[in-house]
Amino acid sequence: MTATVMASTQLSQTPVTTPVPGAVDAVNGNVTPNSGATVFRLKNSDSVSTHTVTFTSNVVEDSLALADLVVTVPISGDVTLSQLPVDVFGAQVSWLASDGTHLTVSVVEP
Amino acid sequence: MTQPFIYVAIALLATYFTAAVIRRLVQQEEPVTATNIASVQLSQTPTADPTNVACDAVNGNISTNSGATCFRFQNSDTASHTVVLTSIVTEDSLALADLTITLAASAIEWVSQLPVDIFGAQISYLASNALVKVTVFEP
Repeated sequence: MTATVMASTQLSQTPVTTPVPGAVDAVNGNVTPNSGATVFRLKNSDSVSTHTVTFTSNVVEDSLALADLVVTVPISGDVTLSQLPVDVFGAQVSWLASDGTHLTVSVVEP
Repeated sequence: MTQPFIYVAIALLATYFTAAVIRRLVQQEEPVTATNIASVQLSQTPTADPTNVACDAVNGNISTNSGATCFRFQNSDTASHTVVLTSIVTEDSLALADLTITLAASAIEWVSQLPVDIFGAQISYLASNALVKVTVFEP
């Protein structure tokens, strides 16, 4: 299965309207360009349960894979994260949301 | 016998008033200090979305700037407002123009890519109205 591309919004000195978090692909996963400074905003509209987003690391040493980064989005949470190094997560970071109904994501590139 | 004490008292009073006058003059010459707005350092650990804070439309604001720093400006007014980000570059005694951004009524806009060599590692900015709010993110 091919992961769904979620493009980032390029920021500049020209003001850009706050991107609206978009739907995730909780089946095939998503892929997004990553500079290491890329900013991910994760929203959970679920008022009952937390959900997760797993960012895949691409590092393997001695045939051992580095653990992925699993981010838990709180109930009704709205969180932001960054600093996903390219050498660990790649210039195209793959990520998988655990719930396609309640999780939405937006990505900005500073 | 009492004369030396009178001289000492006069000297002390003169010193006190001189110091007070100097203190007053120094206070008058102190520059207005821009209000610091700290940036929110992002990391792999999720950070709850911060609440935007009101800009200081009188003294201006100052924030750390890496060049990748992201500014989220919110105009909570029904009229448009501006934010002027000050450039620090001067060439041949001529100042490089500041960057002025316009925020439409109720708009929330993001700005980034403000090079340190043009805007400084401490960027100064002045909103035209305190109803302009800001959050500063450091990715």
